[in-house]
Parts: sequence; structure tokens; C-alpha cells
Amino acid sequence: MVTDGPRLLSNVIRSQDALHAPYGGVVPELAARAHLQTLVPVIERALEDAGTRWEQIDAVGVTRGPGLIGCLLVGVNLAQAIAYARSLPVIGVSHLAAHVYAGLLEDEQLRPPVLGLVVSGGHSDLIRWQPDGEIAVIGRTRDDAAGEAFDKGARILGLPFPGGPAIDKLAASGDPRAVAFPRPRAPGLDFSFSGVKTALLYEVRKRKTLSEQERADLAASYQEAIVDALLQRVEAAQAIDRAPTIVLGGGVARNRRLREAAQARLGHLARLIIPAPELCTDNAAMIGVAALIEWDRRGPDPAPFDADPSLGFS
Amino acid sequence: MRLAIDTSGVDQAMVVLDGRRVLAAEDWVRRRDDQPVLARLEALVRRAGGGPDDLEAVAAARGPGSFTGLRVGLSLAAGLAYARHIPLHLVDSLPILARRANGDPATVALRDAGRAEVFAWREGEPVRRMPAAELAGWLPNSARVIAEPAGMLATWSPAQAHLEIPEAERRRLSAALADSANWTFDSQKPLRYDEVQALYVQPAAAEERARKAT
Ligand SMILES: [Zn+2]
Repeated sequence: MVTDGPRLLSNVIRSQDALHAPYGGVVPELAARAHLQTLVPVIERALEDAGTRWEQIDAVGVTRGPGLIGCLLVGVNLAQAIAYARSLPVIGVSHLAAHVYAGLLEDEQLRPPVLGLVVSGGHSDLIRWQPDGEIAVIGRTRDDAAGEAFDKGARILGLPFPGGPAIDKLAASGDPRAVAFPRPRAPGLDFSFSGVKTALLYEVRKRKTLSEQERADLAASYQEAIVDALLQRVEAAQAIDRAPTIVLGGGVARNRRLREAAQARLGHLARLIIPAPELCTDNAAMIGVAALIEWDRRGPDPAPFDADPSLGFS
Repeated sequence: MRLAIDTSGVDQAMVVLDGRRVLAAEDWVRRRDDQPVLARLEALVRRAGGGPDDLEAVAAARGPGSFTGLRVGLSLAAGLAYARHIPLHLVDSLPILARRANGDPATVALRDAGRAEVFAWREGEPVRRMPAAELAGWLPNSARVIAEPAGMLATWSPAQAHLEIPEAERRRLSAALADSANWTFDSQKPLRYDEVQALYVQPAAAEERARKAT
């Protein structure tokens, strides 16, 4: 729940990681099934935490896409039914754009132009949030998303799902220069992570058995390669067209090495905003902020709308 | 004013009831590029002469049926009921289908489950999913069968095709839904808002694989 400012009143996150962990990745079918039962209690908690009653709510914001259709259907319909039932306006927003807008919760002065990097299990997008309010994608992944690269790397190293936090933790005791993984290269400002993943697989096979130190070194080196590839692209984009503000967002932006290296490498190139970890991971606060921004820009949605699993940044 | 929704099948319907009286009803056939169901719902409630504040209870068909349709119908129902704090009921889809028969309800209801399988229900038993090829041994000789899509029994079990109630002898889904909803509103206990669960006749494939692996 958010209010003008924007100020965060409550932010309830119900993670499904435990549900999906036994399968080593998100199982769409299970995710959608769980949504039907968890959503109402989550909304109830958000109202309670904010000390709010329905009567005090002015509008409902909801993710219209992109994402798993089964989950989006539940959210989009439940939210609009609530809005209808309470005679409230509703605003459907892009989950991806919301990762950029989350920066507003760190710095309420945040305004475009902004150069943004959205990195998660499903996305690695380099964007420009333009003064007219539009968001243009200027770089995307050619294969895996950064978060997927972490998940797959973790599996290769025998670490649990979700892979990002597991690698992050293990890498803390490893040497990032132990193994010189190839730096992913794709044309223009695009990303590619399949090469470094394959290189990790070879390294693990080559060694047959892994000591704990070797495993930590591989994790650190692998993480370093991904982080370096991500930041290199942000630097390149900034060199082409300098933006006064750079925002990082998405679940992978929780990665400690990425946050630290971003400060070192981007901090002098622009005002750098990396939201708190709980605002980088998927959360409802950023959807609330996105709803505020979209409300100012185009007003509420005039008629009921459907979920759009392949929605972009707008 | 009470609302019932069935978006579980190919034929879909919505009714607004005042006691046993139908104030407004709509039937439609599911299509890919259809307008959002909520748009129909809003228009229907308006046609019934009311608004969201007038809703006193909601019922929705819980399946078995289409993945998309069930999610839409159940989330709409849960959202409405929760936001207005009114009773919420779920109704099995195949008994609703059975009530589409003119006169007495059909004793067996079948719905295409894809991949040469059917969802099958007969009076007094829970719904099951079975290969269409097994229908012949499962169907009682005296059954009055209603199938969705209509006429499919001839494909699933040609020797028993005569047991199916012809399409001309069935009512609109909204009429069957109104009857089922009235019975449910009057005799069943409402659910908690977090108990909303589609009727899954089979466990999720992933769970099934994991279970077999252990
Ligand atoms: Zn996300």
C-alpha cells in the first residue's frame, strides 16, 4: 500500500520459493494454484499493516503483465473485482516498468530521463525512461536472463534454488579472479549468458571433484563474470547518451557483488539509485508506485482489461 | 441481489438473482478474443437494476474445466465477495451441466478434458477424469447423459450414443446455473475467502512427477 509522496504504508510479500524449491525452478502450474488462495490473505495483511480500511482506499493498482498467465489472470481479475465492488478506479501496470519506478521509493525526486537496468529471473533489460514518460528498451538478453544464469550456475555447482542468493552467499568466501570466465558478448547493448554458463559446466567437469574452496572460487568467478557483463553494458549505454540518473532493479539487483560493483563503476557516472533489496525483489510496493506514476500520466483504465503475459514496459 | 458465474466450460453464463427470481442472465460461448468477463458482469448487474453495493452473495463454478476460465471466474467471485464481505460459494461444474437437461437433471454429465479424456460425473459420486475409451464400461445402462460439447458421446462411446440427451432438449446454461446457485445459497455453508480452490481432478503434473520419483 502506498500513498502520495510516494510513501510506503505496507508491503506484504508472500514468497513461493519454498513451494518451488523441490523442483529447482518455478513451476507455472503450482504458482497459479497457490495464487488463488494466498492473494486474499496477502491483501488483508497489507490493509492491516497499513492500519487502513477499505473506505480509505482511493484506487487499486495491479500488474497487467508480463508474467505467467495463470498468476496474472488471478491478480488482474481479483484486483478489478475488488475495485468494482468498492467502486474504485483501477490502474493496470507493467511489472517491468514497476522495477524501474521502485527507485522512487528510495528517492522521491526521481524523474526521467533515467537509464535503467532491470535484471531478474525472467528479464535482463537495459532501458531508457524518457522525459515523455515512455520507456524504451535499448538492450535485452539474447538467451538466458541474468537470474536464470544464476539459477543454472547454481544447479551446476550443486547449490539449491533460488540460485542467485546461494551463489551470492558462497561467493563471499571465494576468489572472483580464480577462474577467468569469458565475458558474455552480444552485439550492441544486448546481453548473452549461455557462454559463461557452458564455461562453468566445463570447469566443473574438468575438476571431477570440487573442494569447498574450489566451489566458492567458481561461484565468485562466475558471479563476477555476470556482474561485469551487466555493468559493462550500462557503462556503454551511458557513454552513448549520458543520463543524470541510473536505476537498478529486479531480483538480481539484490546481489551484493552487483550492488557493490555498481557503486564503484557507475557511482561517478550519474546519480545511482539501487532500491533496498526487498524493493528490488518482486513486491507490491513498486506496483503501487507504478500505479501512482501511470495515474498522473494517463489516468485510470476506463474499462475492464485482461492480463497480458507478454506485456513490455508499457 | 445474488450473483452466480460459470466460466468453467465452453458455454459460459452469469445470472443475477433476487431470491429465486432471475433478474438478468447472460449466456455466451468462450472465444479467444472475448471481452473481459468483468465487463459482462458489470453490464449484467446494471441490467438487473443494481450496482456492486446491492450484491448479497456470490457463487462460482469451481470446475473441472478450463484453466483460464476457472481462474477468471474464481478470482472475480473471490474479489467481489471479499471486498463486500458477503458470502462466497463454489459449485461443482458438472452437476450444473446436468441441470441443463429439460425436466429432470441428467444422471451423468461429461465434459471434454482433451487428449481423449473426459471429466465424468454421476449422481452421488465425485467427479473423475478418465480415458474416453473407459466410458463404455462406466456408464450405467439407464443413464441420461449430458455432454459438453453436445453430441460428443457418439465420438467417445458410439455404442451408447443413444443415452445422450439431444442438444434440442437442453436449456441454456444460465437457467441451470440459476437453479444450482439457488440450491447452494439456500443449503450450503459459505467458504472462507482464502479457501477458493478450483476443482482439480488431477494433481499438478509436476507434483505427480515428484511423487512418482520418490
Ligand atoms: Zn520482477
